[in-house]
Amino acid sequence: MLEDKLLVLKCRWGSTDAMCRIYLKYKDYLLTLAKGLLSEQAEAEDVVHDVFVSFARVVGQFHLTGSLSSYLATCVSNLARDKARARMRRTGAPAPVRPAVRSICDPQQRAIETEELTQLRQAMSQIPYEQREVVMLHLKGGMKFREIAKLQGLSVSTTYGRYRYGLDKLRSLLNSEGKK
Amino acid sequence: MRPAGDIERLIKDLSDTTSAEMDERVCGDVLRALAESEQTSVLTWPKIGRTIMKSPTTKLAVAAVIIIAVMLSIHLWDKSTRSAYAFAQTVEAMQGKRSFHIQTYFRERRKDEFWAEFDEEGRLIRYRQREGCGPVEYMLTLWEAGIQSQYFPQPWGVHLMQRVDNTDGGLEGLEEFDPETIVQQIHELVADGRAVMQVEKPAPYVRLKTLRVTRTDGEPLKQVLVVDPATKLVVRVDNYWGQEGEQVFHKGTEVLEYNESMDPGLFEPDFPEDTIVIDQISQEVGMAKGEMTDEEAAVETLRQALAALAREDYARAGKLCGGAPRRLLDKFFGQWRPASDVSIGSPEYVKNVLPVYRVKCTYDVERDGQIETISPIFTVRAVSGQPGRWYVAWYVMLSTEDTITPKDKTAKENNVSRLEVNPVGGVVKGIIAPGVQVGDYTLGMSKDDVLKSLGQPNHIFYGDEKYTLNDLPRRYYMVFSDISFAIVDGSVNGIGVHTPSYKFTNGLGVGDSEQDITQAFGDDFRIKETEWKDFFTYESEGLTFEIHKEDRTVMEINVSRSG
Repeated sequence: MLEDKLLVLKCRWGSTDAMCRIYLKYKDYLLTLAKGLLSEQAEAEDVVHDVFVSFARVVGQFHLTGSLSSYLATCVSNLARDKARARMRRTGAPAPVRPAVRSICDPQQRAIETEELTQLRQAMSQIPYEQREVVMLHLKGGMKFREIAKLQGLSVSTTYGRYRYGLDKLRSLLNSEGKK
Repeated sequence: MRPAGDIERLIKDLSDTTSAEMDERVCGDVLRALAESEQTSVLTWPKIGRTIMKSPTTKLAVAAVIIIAVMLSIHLWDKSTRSAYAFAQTVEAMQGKRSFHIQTYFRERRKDEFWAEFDEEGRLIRYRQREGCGPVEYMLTLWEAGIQSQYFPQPWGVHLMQRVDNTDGGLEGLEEFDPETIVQQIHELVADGRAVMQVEKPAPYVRLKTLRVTRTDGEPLKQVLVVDPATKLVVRVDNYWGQEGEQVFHKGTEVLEYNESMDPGLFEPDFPEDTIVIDQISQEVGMAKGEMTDEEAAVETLRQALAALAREDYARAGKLCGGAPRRLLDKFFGQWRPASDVSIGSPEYVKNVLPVYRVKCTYDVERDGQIETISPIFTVRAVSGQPGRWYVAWYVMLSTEDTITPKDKTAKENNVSRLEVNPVGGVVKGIIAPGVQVGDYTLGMSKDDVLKSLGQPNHIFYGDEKYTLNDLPRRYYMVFSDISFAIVDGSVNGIGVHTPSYKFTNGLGVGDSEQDITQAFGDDFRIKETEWKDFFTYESEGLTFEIHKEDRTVMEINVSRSG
């Protein structure tokens, strides 16, 4: 936390070293989050790219009041939501129901993906976006329900409800997958 | 059946790694964006240079910024050799201030933002203070030529106009954060030998100087100043409290602009149209103190104001309530109108620039055709700019007797002392009284009364079964947006709170930390652990807190009869 504050301060003073360290520190975390939200590798990479570029543009006036990881996760969430909505407008359909693993070009990474995780990614893409967002932001983004509720403009209980419904749906999808 | 915890673990195990191509693309664009931003003045060689240098475009961008960096570092090195004089130069530079725009912090939170303008002699001409953060809920204070306008946002929606003279310390809040004052104080402390200052050797890429001031007179305070070596002005001051090694950030001031011309519109009142105006400029308000002591004046002002309210003499009540118009009396004082004799307690002094007292009263009011005994706490204060006059402020607090109906519950006041209804904070719908009630809903009340008050529930369930109002079992839960009820045989057997809308009288509620709860209620609780949350049950209090398994905050509070 303190390290992040220092890094942000250094970025404000123009340190590219600090900016690179922030990128290295959070790139995988944010990509995982974005991919969990969007399912599409290319879209997720675009989101992470846009978040860091925007951050670099505003860092001169940026005041870190909470945790940097939560801030960046919130940015990813906002951009991912925009992308998901744009896709809905474009195709009239939610996130494509296809295993995210198929879009991974890197054979090494494909090998790492376990079957279980592949099923999870498939299931994730099938639950409503709002639920997926809470589940991902809480479990992968490490955000508190209170923070997520603020981000979504909802009460903590509604947010938590979405989390529970999301997990229930995931469980049901994974169990039905397991029975096949 | 796969357990939920298993899925949570799986999601936590999800891991993606960026490719080298992505790193190259992002780093290139990020560094270009940084170089293009105004703040990019000094750059260092990035640690992931090898990756970046794969891109020809990035190579050029990095080469350009390195040239700038080298030129700037030479310039700065020259400046840094004169660091022994830096602070004296800073003191001098700060004395020439004509305006500033600062942001203050208190314990890691943004506190307020000030814009202030000064004349050639350094006297304050006008200022604007915006307290709190967020686009909607903030308190705004404008001051110019001895007139202060304060806007209290909803749920108050009040604009208070007063005379506030800067010579009597009325603007001490501004002084406390004024960077010039801070610098002068530090200068004096160092000159008196009560503090020592160290100039930190800057890292090569740091343009600004950092000065550390440590007290040698026993005060557990360390101040860190950041100074722009080009202008010699302080751009940030942070205070850390505590003994060496245990210091924590306490408050800070960040200078956003210095000596920049400001938009005059910043200092003009521009409040929402439906704002209630309390004018203490053009009319005499409150009650004359005469020969009374401050305590006597506080009690007498309140007595007269409540008497005027009781007889519905709104002209008199408005004057005693600080010039409150009828709309404000209806909005804030209507519910406190006495329907019986008033018992007024001893006034409690509150430290402030002008004297302020809190006075607790006990009397009956009529609500929904019923007579209730209440004990509100009123704030009575001296009128600013009208010496010797006192008025009753519109913000009223609740005391515990209001909500804890059985008299033997007073022991709980040890834990839950008083709810302060903060005029800047959000609306609190009601108080959680352990073992008794939540807001207007008491244990034992009928489900029909709950429905009458709250309307249709969001859902009704018991176990995995869902029900409707036409098809109710003996035992079930009725869930509303921020509160739920456990019903047994048609009566409320337990009440659950899911949002911060309801709070204990000490201000705690949903969203607060486990630590806050155990500090307030002690360690005598029973724990039940589940996959997602832990249940802390205080049987003697009739309270159960549902604590989130990971972030350790209160998700829900359940009130039941104490054991």
